[in-house]
Amino acid sequence: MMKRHAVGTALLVAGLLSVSGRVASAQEWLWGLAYGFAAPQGNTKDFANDFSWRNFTVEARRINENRNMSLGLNASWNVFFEKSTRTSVLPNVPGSVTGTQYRYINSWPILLSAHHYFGHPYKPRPYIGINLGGYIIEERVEIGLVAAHETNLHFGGAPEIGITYPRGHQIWWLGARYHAIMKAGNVPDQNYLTVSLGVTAH
Amino acid sequence: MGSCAMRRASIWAASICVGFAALTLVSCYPGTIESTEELGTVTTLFDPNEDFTQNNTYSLADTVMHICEGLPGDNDCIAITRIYDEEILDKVEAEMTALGYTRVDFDVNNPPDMVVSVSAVARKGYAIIGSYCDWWYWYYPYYCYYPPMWTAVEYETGTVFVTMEDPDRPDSANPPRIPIVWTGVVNGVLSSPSVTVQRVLDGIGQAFAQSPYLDVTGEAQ
Repeated sequence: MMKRHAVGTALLVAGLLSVSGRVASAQEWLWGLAYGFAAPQGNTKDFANDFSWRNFTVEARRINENRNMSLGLNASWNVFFEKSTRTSVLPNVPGSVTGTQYRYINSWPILLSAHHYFGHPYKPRPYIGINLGGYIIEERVEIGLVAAHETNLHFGGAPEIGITYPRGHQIWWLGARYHAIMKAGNVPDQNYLTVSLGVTAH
Repeated sequence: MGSCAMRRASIWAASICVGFAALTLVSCYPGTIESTEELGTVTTLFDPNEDFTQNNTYSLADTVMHICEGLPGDNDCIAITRIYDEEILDKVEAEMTALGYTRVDFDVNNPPDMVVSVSAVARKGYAIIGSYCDWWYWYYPYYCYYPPMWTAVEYETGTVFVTMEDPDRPDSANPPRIPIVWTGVVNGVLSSPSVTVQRVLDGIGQAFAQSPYLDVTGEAQ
């Protein structure tokens, strides 16, 4: 499954870079950073129900001559943490364990992105986008004096909406991404919503 | 051109500073243990081939067995007081009664459905803690001690086992062994005896609470 995801991601990268290269004339790169929060959904929420303020993104976007489309790459780091007293079913043996659990999800998505911007390039304008790629996700549970963890490469994507606000040589943006991540290893599919405030410069 | 490059450089410098500050606010594993009670666990294991609903009677050993005391050459074993034995056995009896079991004396010619016993062990444990690097030491944002310092810590852990054996299911070994069909394990770091015994009692209650399949009244199924 992981190999199929890797091949799919590689093909997607090649395709996007090819398109990017063909329409690259008079284009420019935008580089930026973003900070935000994340709200877990579904299985992610079941594992660590945390409204996370630990969400960082670095972003590169290559915007076209008309400044209404961009292709890019972004990498993020999201940390979800929950401390709770829980009873959990033991893996592999019939039984359960209760105790104070420290539960962590560290998610490192590396995603290719495509964005379309509406309106005038030098005024605040909304945009939509899609992000696709790989998510390295580590789930970790600490209970008592032991810890269990699992790290997998997941395939997933994140549709995005937001608004940009150009200011001098910077473009500020506020965007929301809904991450839908496929199952990998023993870790089921994951979902979370991120809202980030970022700034790009060129 | 020069001012443009300077502006770009200043944006990047600010971004790097913001990014670095952000990274110092977070780690992969935020949150720290706030008390030794958080290290306590209650684990239960059961035999999936055992039909607990068919059980009715049980016998309970009248002594808490101390597992490691008296073992030759064992220097990490800690002696356990017996002043709480009765309290612990009473707790087990109360939990069994609540599940619908009837306590009987053990009779080898007419064995009960379950044989319940309680055992305990307390031992010293050791850990090495390294303090090589630290955030925000004095005015350095990230300081690494040189030479690295390591500290050995000793801690004491205690474990109470409540086990159920089914005398109707001896295996084929010679002499035959009676299988343990359920175990409740209450484990934690030892503190003052009064605090520890309350944690043991609460832990025993939790072990039964998280094992609803033991219930023979039919109410918890």
